[in-house]
Amino acid sequence: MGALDEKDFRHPGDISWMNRIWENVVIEKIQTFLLDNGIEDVYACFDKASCIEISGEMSPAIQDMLAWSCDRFGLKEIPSLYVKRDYDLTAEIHGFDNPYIVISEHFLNKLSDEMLRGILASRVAGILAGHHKTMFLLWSAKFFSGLVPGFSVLVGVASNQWMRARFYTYDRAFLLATHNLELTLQSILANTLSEHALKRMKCGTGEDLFDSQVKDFHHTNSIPKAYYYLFDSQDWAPERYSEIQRFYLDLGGGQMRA
Amino acid sequence: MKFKLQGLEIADFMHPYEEEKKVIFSSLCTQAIIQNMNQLSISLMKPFVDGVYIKATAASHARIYRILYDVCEILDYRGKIPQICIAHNAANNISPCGCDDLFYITISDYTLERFDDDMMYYSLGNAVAMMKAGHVELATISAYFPSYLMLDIIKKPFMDYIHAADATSDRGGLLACQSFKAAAKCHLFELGLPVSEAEALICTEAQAVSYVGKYQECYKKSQRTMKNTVTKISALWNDTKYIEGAGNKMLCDLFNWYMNPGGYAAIMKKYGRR
Repeated sequence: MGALDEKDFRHPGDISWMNRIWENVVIEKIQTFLLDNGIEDVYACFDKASCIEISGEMSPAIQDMLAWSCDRFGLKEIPSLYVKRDYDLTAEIHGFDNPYIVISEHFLNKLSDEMLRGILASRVAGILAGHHKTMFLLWSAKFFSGLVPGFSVLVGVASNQWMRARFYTYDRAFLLATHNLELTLQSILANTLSEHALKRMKCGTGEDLFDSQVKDFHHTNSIPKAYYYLFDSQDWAPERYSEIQRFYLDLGGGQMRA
Repeated sequence: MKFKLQGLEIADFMHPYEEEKKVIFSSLCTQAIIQNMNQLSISLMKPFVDGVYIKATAASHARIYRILYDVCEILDYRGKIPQICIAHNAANNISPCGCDDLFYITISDYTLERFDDDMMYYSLGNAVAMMKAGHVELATISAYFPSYLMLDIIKKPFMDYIHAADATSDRGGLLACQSFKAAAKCHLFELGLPVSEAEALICTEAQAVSYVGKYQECYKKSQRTMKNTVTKISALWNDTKYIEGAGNKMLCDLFNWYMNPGGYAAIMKKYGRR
């Protein structure tokens, strides 16, 4: 099986919002400043100090999953994986020139092997798409924007759309890596629900228990929704659910195991 | 099997301070403000409830709904069964929200994983008691109050009322679970003691009473040493800042009501039916 290309899995929203961020002249200046002053090294040093690396010796199985993911998405260098105690975190890509993946201890304990493989694959796809660079840039922009009143709000509004859209890319990559719609849909809910509850949700079937909530969300009043869209970076599970099912149908639906 | 308390009224277990102060909110104008603010709050929160929380159903979360139905029956709650929403956070958090008989209860996944059945009975009983007593709408408003020193002084009477109302809901929780051990474990968890540690310390009802009794003695002793004016002001201000009353006070209040012959035991004797 040949490696997947970016165009196979990147969501159009992810591409367009990321381009808008990078086209901003202020962002370009920030990037130059960061690279010239070695900020990435400082950040990585402090970040990794609060994590534990999962090496190949520690877990050959997880290392194999990473290697498989890199092969699937054509990423030449296998990124390091770190585990962190952070209940709010799931799995994120950190770093700029030297990306690495950080996963929360809570999330890692929850995931089945198959789901973990999908999650790692989606994050590897994110590295390929350059998400880590944008994440690092936005982190820096927010950090420095505290010095300029009002700028943090502007940075937030622009970045919030991309922060949401990148999850659509992750979900697509997850589906393409695992060929399993039910598992992909479960992964969207996995951080909140237990393994038993996930099985009972019957995701992706005609008796999907999450479908009614998806409908409720789409019928919710648009004014408060608009507020959250602008000022909050929260990814919305019902939207991710709808997006990935649309993508699945566009791919030809039944050709993948559901 | 737990006793059903048919005919139970909130007045039967209302905290005396709540009873005394609730007249503040009885005017039509106040009621209208409370109602409108709650409607607004529900509209604002709806995208979050639908988009971030996960709505549980009897099919996906049979255990929780079984306990909820039982709690409603035990406390003789006759309103619409609230929707349960699961939220991902590490707080010990079971909160009822809503108004006009359209309530939902948010439960944190952290709580769901760790609480045994009796502790869930207590927590859901607390939430249902809040709904039955009309506390939900007031607690919702208090969540929007900004915290600012001068404003905290003005809102103190309101926060005192909220804490007393909270004490009433704690009593409702105890009536629902009918186990002081479970109630104590919930409160100790909120105070920082992991559930596994509480289970090792408190295995029986008698051990729960003994442990909390000793805890209360330590609490009273520490209160006697807090004579410093700045400490008193600090304690007063803390009391006003937070929707939840001070954890140690709440536990001791519930313990005293449980041990009072005219409290918990009297209600069980009056209403308890199998």
